[in-house]
Amino acid sequence: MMDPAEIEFLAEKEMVSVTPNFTQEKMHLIGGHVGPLNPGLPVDVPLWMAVNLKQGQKCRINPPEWMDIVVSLYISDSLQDKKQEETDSKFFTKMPSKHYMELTQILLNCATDDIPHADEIRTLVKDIWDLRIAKLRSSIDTFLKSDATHAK
Amino acid sequence: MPNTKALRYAHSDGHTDLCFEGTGNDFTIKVVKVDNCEHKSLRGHEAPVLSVALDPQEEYVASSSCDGSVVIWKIEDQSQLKILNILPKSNDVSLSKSLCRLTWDSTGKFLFIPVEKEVKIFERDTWNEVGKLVDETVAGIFSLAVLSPNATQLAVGSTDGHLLVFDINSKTVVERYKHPKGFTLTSLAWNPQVEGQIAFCDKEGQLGLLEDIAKSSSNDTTSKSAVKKRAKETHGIFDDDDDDFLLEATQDDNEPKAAEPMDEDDLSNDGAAGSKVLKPLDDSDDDTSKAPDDIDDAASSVSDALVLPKTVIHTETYKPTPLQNAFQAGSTPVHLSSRFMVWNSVGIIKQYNTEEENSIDIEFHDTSIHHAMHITNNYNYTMADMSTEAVILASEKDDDSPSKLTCMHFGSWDSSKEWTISLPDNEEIQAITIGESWIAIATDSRTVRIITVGGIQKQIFSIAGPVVCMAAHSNQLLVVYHRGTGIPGDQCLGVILQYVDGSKRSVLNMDSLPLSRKSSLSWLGFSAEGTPFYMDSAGVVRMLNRKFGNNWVQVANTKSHAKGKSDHYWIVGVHENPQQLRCIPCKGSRYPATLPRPAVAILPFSIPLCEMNTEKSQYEESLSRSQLFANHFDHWTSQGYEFEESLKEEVLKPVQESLMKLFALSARSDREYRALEVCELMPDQHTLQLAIKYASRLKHIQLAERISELVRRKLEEEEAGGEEQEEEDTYSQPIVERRWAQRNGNPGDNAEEDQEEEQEEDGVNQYEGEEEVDSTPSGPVLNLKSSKSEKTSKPQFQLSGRSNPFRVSTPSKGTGSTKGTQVFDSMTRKKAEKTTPVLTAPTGKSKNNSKTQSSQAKIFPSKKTKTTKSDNINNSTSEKTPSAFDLWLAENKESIVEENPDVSEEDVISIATEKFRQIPKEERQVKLHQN
Repeated sequence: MMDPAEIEFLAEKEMVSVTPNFTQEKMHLIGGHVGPLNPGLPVDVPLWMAVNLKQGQKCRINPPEWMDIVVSLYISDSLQDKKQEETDSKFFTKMPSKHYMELTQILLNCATDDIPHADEIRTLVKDIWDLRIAKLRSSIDTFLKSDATHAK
Repeated sequence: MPNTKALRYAHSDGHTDLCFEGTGNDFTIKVVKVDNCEHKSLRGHEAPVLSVALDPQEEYVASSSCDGSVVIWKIEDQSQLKILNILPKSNDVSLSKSLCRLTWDSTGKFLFIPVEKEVKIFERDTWNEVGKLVDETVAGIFSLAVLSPNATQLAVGSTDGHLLVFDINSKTVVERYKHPKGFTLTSLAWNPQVEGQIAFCDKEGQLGLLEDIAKSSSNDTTSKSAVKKRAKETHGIFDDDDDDFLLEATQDDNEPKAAEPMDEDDLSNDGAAGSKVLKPLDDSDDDTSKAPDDIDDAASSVSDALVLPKTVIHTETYKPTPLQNAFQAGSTPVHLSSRFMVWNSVGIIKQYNTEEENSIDIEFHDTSIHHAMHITNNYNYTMADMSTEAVILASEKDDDSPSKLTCMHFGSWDSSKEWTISLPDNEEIQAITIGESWIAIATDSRTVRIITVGGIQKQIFSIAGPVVCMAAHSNQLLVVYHRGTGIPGDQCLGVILQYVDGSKRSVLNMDSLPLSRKSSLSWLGFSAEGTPFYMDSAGVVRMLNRKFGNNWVQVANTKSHAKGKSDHYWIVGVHENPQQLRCIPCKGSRYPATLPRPAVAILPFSIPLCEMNTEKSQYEESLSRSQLFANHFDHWTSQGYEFEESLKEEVLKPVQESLMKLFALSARSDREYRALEVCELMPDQHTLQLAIKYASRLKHIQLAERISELVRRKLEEEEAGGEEQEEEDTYSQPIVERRWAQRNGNPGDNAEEDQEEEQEEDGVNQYEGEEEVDSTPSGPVLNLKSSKSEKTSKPQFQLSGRSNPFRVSTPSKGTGSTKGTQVFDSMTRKKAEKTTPVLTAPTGKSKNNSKTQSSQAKIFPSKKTKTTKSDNINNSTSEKTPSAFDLWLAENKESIVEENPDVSEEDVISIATEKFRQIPKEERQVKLHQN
């Protein structure tokens, strides 16, 4: 059983886009190359680095595309839509990111100023989470009651 | 309110009949004889009557009604002759979409009924539909049809504000006008006195007048009048005062506009300022020939007898394209309450101009340059630019204050960081830019002032027209200004590229700036490397090609990346290395809003070559693009900047790569001539040698021969070039000969050079030998063949012994050559594998050498057509004492064999070569001298 901290640790290798405000040559890390960082130019870095840079006020975080409440023309899976989909479906739907919960949690903790509609996003993600937990609960409940060999 | 509704009426020319509809409630139509006030009622409609039309022959009345019918009545007995159920039904006039104002032809032969999107034409008596007038471009419903006084044209009004004038004979649209706000037209009337005037009303109660409706453009031989076209003009109350006049001007010019009359013919004619007095004409047939300005259709202006004498009309609609206003690159429009004053590669300056707040935010991409600033905008600055040393702000002229420039020189080491300068009262700043420790200001008096970043007024010069935009980079200043009026819809811009220190002549002086069709300049700037770039409103990005006559070349089309039609890209920066076009995608607009904070995207460059889906074009594009984007290195050199050579190498790698790929492609597709052309573009010998090998592997013998000729020629040119520098002689064959002679006579003179050249000779001889063998397909001697296969199949080995000359002369070639080999290997691996079996035949280096020499010795004497030059070479080689490497090898071979006991002899040689290379040059020469 993993505790939340461990899960967050795993999620921190997810890439997010940041706009740095300093220059840095390409960095060769165990997980792969990062950079080069150019001031004012968006670049993908691991979440842990993004958080670190943000805390040092070295960058602005560009929220992932899906982290948006507005139903836009180009992004079909805004959180609003996602929640609706999750509500309508009997099963789990595909989430915009493997670590959507952790990403939201971490980004909203450290970069509220960079993310428009932070509060709404927090609520929506929590709603989606609750929906999924409820599904899980009811599934296990039926599983236990029905004496089936595998859960549905 | 039906009772107070205005009566719709029609009357005939003879003034004998008056016909009007009942007042809404009773659905009746009354026909009144004017002479004796005798009246008749026509009853039968089941809904309010929309419109009535009295037959000119006073026999019939046509009426349309909300019940969806058009009825033809016979006045005499008030009977319904014909009922046409062609209209949509409605309850009331106010609810009906179409007013269905029908009209008769002047003779009463035809009846025109506007129905839906067409005007149906019905024939008298039979009441059959005989035709219709249609126009696809109108989206609304035709609801009005009014015949012109001379009965040749029909004005049609639609619910979406279109007013069309049809020529009745040709059934074509001769005039088109769109209500600027698109309001439904409710009424139309021709001016019976002045030809070509239509008054119209819209549903908002506005009255407009459309003047100078074009005459029929059809050249009907049966009609008496010759082709006459009247220029058009509107004095409307709907004139669009939209400030975006530029866009309007670039639209299709079908809409008549209130134009300032501008007659280009006047210049050649009577000089009457834009207007002409028309003479009354009795015979309209020959006045086309008499008309002084019947130069072309659009310009001709002739009237027929209907026009009253001495009518002054405007004959020209040539309207100069409005000049685009001056702007700051990377700024959004001034009228926005929150806007970007500038966004460049250094930072962002935002202006807030609301009731509560009037301030400026300055923010640097790189916070190590300076921290962000927030200042109050006291002087009402509207223009800004920033560099890594300073921020400059400029304000326009005000009623009571002059135009000002403020410089915040945060790079200064003293305590007073800010200074302001005011311009003379009659001058206003229109564009500003900042370079390396200087500022340029362009004013409305067509002056460019250059001020140092510390505030010294240094230079002042005039430009030939109103400024459009300026950009600066280090010591370069780029000014774009209006040179004049362009062809309709186009801007005519001039460009100056000037070195600010003034030490050099300006690069571009009063040249014109090419723009896409009907577009204007939308961004101007330098790449980070200092090459001028600009984008026009059509989204095309062009850069200055300093290597090709300082011409502009299109390097990107941002429009092709846009997702939607109205999406645009807004440039914030250009980099040549790496090739990046940094811009902000704007959905549905030309510029981004300040909030939410826009994200920068990177677009690739691509040169618009033909057939971009083919492999060949892709290589060609990559080749020319890499060359183009490496040009800045030469500019740097010319400007005296220092840079690492390896940087240039890195940038030029793709050039070499695409050249090789292009060569391989051409060779494989049997395009030998093209392959040779590619070879001529190859910059170094090494690549050429690879090309030769590749060609011979592909059995393109002739190609291989020609390439080796090319190699020889290039070598000679190189040498001659070197000679020239030393002895100031021109390139010619004898010099080369003399040089050989000199060298042979004095072998120990310049050991290093000798060694190099000797190796070059080896190379040349090698080719010749190869050539020789290859060109005799049915070789007379059998073992010649084996030697041939050996040679062609052992390129790597021989190369390692001889590729040095090029490497020594320019040490940088080393990286290029390895790179080149890699590329080539990857492409020719399969072929190399094929030939490897031959390689296994064990042949020692010394053996090989002697064989080569012996075969050469055999071949060369037998060849009679040999040039003197190659004879010389041969002589020099044969006379040559063993090279430094040979000597060294003789000494060290044993030790190498000892060190590596289990390798073949061949590998020993290659190990030896490696070792020899590691020995310092001096030592090698010493060895040679000792011998």
